[in-house]
Amino acid sequence: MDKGLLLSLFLILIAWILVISGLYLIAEALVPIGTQGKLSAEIAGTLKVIGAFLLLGSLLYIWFLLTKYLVVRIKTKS
Amino acid sequence: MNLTIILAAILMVGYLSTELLLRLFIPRLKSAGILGEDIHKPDKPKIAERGGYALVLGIIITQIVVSVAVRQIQKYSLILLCSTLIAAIVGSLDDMIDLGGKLKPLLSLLSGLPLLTSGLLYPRPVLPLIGRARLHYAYPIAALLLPGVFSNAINMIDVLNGMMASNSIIILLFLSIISILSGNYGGIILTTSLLGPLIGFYRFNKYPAKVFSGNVGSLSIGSCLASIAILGRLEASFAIASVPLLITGFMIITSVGGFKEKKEMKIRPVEVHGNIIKANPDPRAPITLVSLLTLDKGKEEPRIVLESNLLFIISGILALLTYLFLT
Repeated sequence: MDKGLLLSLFLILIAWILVISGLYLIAEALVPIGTQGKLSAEIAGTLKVIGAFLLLGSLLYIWFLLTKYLVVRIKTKS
Repeated sequence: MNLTIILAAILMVGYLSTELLLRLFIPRLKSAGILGEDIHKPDKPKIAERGGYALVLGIIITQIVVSVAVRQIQKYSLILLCSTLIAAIVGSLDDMIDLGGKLKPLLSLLSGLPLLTSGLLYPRPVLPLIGRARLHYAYPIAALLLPGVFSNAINMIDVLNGMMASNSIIILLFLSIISILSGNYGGIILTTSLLGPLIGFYRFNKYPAKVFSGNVGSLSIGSCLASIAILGRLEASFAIASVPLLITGFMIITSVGGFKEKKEMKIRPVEVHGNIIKANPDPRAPITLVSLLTLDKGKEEPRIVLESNLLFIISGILALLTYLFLT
């Protein structure tokens, strides 16, 4: 079984989920900005956007650590 | 005029002009000594470098034909051309004077300026699970950044014979299918306008390569692809179809600790033994798409390119499924 190809496929599936959820999170968080006009809504919207980016950043970093772990594991076993 | 005839004409103009230009360019590049070493072959042959100039000229000719033949998207075609030309200038500078790992990505961000200043941006993209979103502030920022980001991402996969061209062709084919399904007339024309030059280039760049694109070619293609996605309103589909590109870019940047040129990397991601390419066993080696595909066993160059194409086809299918069922 080709572990390299399988790992790449797995990473693509995870990245697909991340792209969809990332677009969803950011778009949902961005909607209030510039559409409601009130300062409180603008601030809340900005905080939501920052939160969405932080969440996505953390997920991406976890994804990277997982990939690195799997890569090193396959390398040491082969 | 019938859409099928227009598409066939655009495809033929792009393909034939690029093929003809490459036939003219390759002997001249060789005689001028503009050569690059094909490091993944046992005898390390010298191959004509910077064939991307012919590719860019092919794109210019095609876009001029598109803007004359299809008046409705004339402005889009010209903005696409401007963005591609800026990336081509940056790539050309890098080929000549080596801009370095940090200045090149920074300068390539300039290729997003024509999009931002065009007045053609539509900040209401259709996104999965949401439908039509309103991104008044974020969309222009994304439009400014994406051509530069993708030109560098494409540059990172331009490492094996035919890989960059074939992977880009697959992305464009899936974007064309999604454009046809959604009745997106502009999207169909714009995607087809890049397919012709890329197929023409692929003929000479496939294994064993007769020409390399150079940074001038790879940066232009990346910028052109991202501009097509934005101007053709195919943003989400493009993001999903190009997931292997994003993986490569993200993995390289995080594993080498920032933007670095190939020669700046202390440890190479892969090792070459004769015809076989294998991931570097050193755990500190950078992770790239090629090193991922050759993790547990060495493979020949055409096999790796074929497997990378398979990954892009799967991403394209995911983009298609997302469009059909989640949008």
